[in-house]
Amino acid sequence: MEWGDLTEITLRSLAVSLSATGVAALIAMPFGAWLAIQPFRGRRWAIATLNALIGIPPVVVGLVVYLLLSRSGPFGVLGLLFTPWAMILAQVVVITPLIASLTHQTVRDLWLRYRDLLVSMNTTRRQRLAILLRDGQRGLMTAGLAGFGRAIGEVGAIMIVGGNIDHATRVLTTAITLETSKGNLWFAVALGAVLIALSLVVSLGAHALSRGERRAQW
Amino acid sequence: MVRLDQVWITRAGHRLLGPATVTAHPRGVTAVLGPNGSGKTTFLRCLHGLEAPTSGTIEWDAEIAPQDQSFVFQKPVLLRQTVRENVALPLKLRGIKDPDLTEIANTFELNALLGRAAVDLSGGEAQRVAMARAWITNPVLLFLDEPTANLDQATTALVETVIRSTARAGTRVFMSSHSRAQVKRLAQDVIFLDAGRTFGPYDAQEFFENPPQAARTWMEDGT
Ligand SMILES: Nc1ncnc2c1ncn2[C@@H]1O[C@H](COP(=O)(O)OP(=O)(O)OP(=O)(O)O)[C@@H](O)[C@H]1O
Ligand SMILES: [Mg+2]
Repeated sequence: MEWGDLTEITLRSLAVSLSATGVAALIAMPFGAWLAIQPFRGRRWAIATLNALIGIPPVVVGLVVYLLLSRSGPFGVLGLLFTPWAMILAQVVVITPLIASLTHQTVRDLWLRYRDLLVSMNTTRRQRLAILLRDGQRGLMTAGLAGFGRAIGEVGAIMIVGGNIDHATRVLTTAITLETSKGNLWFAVALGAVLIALSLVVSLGAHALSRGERRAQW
Repeated sequence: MVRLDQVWITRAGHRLLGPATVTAHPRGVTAVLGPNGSGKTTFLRCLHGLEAPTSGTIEWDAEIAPQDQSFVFQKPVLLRQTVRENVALPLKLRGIKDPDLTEIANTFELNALLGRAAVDLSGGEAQRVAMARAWITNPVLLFLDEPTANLDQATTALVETVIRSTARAGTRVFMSSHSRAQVKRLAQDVIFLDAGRTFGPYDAQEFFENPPQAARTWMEDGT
């Protein structure tokens, strides 16, 4: 592998994991918030299941997505296996429960404090969600970052559904695995350093953005 | 007119209110009095609809729409936003953007605070913001749960003036209070609570001149 590939791999890692985080957040945040304010039968059970899903092994997710996308699988015709799309899909599945659970916690805490006020003001469910998501934005950002951190560091699922194909689906984590097995330890370590730096940059960037937007509130 | 008939509110076997049997023809300010834990907050919440009776019935002769009611909580609840956004919240929820807050800010002396983050306010300041937010919709029915418990004398006087003029203008006010002097100054009617049980309503003047049996012990100690 050439040093020039490093940029490509890094950018692919970022693109895949940021997309996965974005998609997962779009699913998980409204769902987590809804779970926090909506009383229904079996709510506790739903929350327990959600929390259990946080620990779902990525390899298993990879396997299931593989089966779904493989040529003989139900979505085989889409031809997504061994493309970045399959990797994004697998990562979405891996991190959605985590983001949803953290969102649920944040929104639940706020809801317990705001409930009387919001009920008294006769707010619609949509208005409640908007207020809770807005006031809980710091917690939501943490949830998003946690999801991104898990996605970008994940290797089991994307190895299976992406295939670690050079110039197609190779990302930082799968490259580290490959280089290590080839004995290119110095290169693997360099890739690891890039991976950590990336996490830091994204995290600091998100914090800086949110601070610029409004001053610290807690 | 509102009529409560044998209303009980219990939670996990614990009595919050009951038996509450009251027929009130609210005019001006109706004070809700009673010792700590007697159920004043629960009673107000029940009238407002925040608490549903476990048993018994509550009936209004003319239902007052939720958007025509406001409730000021004993502990102010403010959003993590600016004072301005907090005060304007009820209007924003009704689709009114950038309302003019000059008048309400003057009334509650909030002009210097409008740009501040609500979480940074002192207890008394937060209480004034919560009141401005409750008042901004010109409610027909206003619930105040110990509105001046956190306020200094000057601010209490200010708030009492506002309550009085609001009641004169036709808003019906239910307020709980620990200050008998304040109730004497403001209220036309008194409902007394003791361990969840309601007594009254009494004409306020009569209540203080010749306290009913149930309220006597409570009247004797303290202010
Ligand atoms: N969620 C709850 N679960 C159990 N008991 C409760 C709950 N909320 C209130 N209570 C109890 O119900 C009783 C009435 O409470 P409430 O808050 O209505 O009293 P209050 O008259 O407003 O008291 P204070 O003067 O201290 O404000 C109290 O004994 C209180 O401990
Ligand atoms: Mg109370």
